[in-house]
Amino acid sequence: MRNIKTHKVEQLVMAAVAFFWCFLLWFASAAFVPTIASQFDLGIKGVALLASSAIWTAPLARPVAGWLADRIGATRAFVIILVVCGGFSILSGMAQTFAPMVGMSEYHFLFWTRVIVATAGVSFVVGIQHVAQWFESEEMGAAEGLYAGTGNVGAGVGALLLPRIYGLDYHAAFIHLGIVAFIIAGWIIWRGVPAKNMEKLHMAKKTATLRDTAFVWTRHAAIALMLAYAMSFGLEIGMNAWLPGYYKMGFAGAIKALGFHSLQDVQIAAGSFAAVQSFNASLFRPLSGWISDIWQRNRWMPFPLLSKKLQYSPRIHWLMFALLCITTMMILLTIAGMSGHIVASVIILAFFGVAVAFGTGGTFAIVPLMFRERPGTAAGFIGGVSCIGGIIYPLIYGNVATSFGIGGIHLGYAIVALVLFIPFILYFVWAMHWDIHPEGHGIGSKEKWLGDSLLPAIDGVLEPVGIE
Amino acid sequence: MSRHGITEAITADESHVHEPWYKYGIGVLFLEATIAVAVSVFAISMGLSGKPVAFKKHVVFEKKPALVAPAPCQASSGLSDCTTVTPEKS
Repeated sequence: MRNIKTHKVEQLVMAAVAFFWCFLLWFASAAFVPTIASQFDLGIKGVALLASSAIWTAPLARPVAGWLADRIGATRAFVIILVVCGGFSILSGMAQTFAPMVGMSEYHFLFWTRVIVATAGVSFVVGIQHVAQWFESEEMGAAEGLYAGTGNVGAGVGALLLPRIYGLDYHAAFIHLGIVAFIIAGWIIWRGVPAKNMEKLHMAKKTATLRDTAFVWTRHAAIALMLAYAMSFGLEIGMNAWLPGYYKMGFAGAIKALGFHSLQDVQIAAGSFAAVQSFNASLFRPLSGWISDIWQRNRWMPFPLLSKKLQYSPRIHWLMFALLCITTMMILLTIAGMSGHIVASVIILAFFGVAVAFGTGGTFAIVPLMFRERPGTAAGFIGGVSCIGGIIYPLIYGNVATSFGIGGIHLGYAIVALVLFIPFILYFVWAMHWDIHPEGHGIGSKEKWLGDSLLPAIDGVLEPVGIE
Repeated sequence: MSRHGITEAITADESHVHEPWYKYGIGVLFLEATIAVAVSVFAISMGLSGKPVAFKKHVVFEKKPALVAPAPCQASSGLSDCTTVTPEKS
């Protein structure tokens, strides 16, 4: 390990800035969807496909990124992500030049290079691992919350500022974003240190095994938390990509009536409305961790069926409250959309964003406590697979919109809430009802997945711990 | 060992005396929430007013016509073979 004099707050800031920029790269396309859709004559399905494409690589790449961060260190993983994604961002901005060279149409070149740029989203897991390597458990909640919340706001900043700074010139935006990614990579090479000490660095490498991964992936509690994260973070990123197009098409008349006529003005308006969700979902996330602490301190456990005897049971109840809020807000979004009242829709969207933040912050207030010995693997699974939600939701919205005709664009939220979210919540309740070791129950026994070699670290998961 | 390790860690989470950076972290946490509320108010007020706020008013990308008509001849140009050309209509 390099001998650099640093402080954990510097490493936290570094991780947050890198993640923030990766998030900006990730959702820069969404900010320009109205322009791209107009330039290439995309229909509603084309917009939905473009929106969902930003998330295609995340479910598979995030667990790999978590494993890579454990194996080679988070700082090196960050540099690889920033250089690759920054490079392809520059290429996507020069699609007019490079597309003919590789025999592709400009739109296809732009589309596929943006899919590669979107892998920047895997940096979430890398940063979670980096922060965990530097902070102690007593301050982990605040540190992870600050890291994730500050980083996530990159999407909102993109939606809010990029159309204002660059107008319709998305080419320049993509090139500039890529150049800054290279600068941040240089900063990490200069000042980044992968762990607080050698012991932590070696422990991370030691638990990054296929058996450990299989064990975590098959726990009911891990699956339930993954679904909870799909209801919150998966939904957030799906909405980041979907909302600018939704407001442009779903409220075309209302936006025009408000005085937004040119494509640029409509794009700014739609992006601003979409940013409400993104900003609230991102910036209230650290507060969610803090509220989780308050519930924990006061031992608030209002819900029946959920365990009340675990040390961290109040945090599970807080997450349950958040999941119910998210489901309610989805239904209210549909009602506001059907009414055609754009201001009501944006106000509900603001509360929706807060509810999503409650869910994301609440989930990762539990993960490090429940999967204390292998937070990287658990974070990779929960933070990665849950992104599938971000792919599926916009596709459902698009298909519902085309199936139901006029007004159908608003129905997708309620359908997702009723058909997907309520079953997810029921599974969450079942997986969290055990008073002893909810994380020990799963598909297959510990012996099956870990063999006879049961590492000492495994004891922490399976022995009766945390019971009052 | 692990059992007590985890229990102690969780208990310590509630009674731990935090380092100086922590209070600033909580301050940032509330600042971020305030920014989120401010952005929401801004977007909603913009929606009500119908006035977009753009830093860059000039439109860079625009679809251009395929054929551009040449500048009309001027007597002062001094060209003897100056003729007026009109673009073909498709």
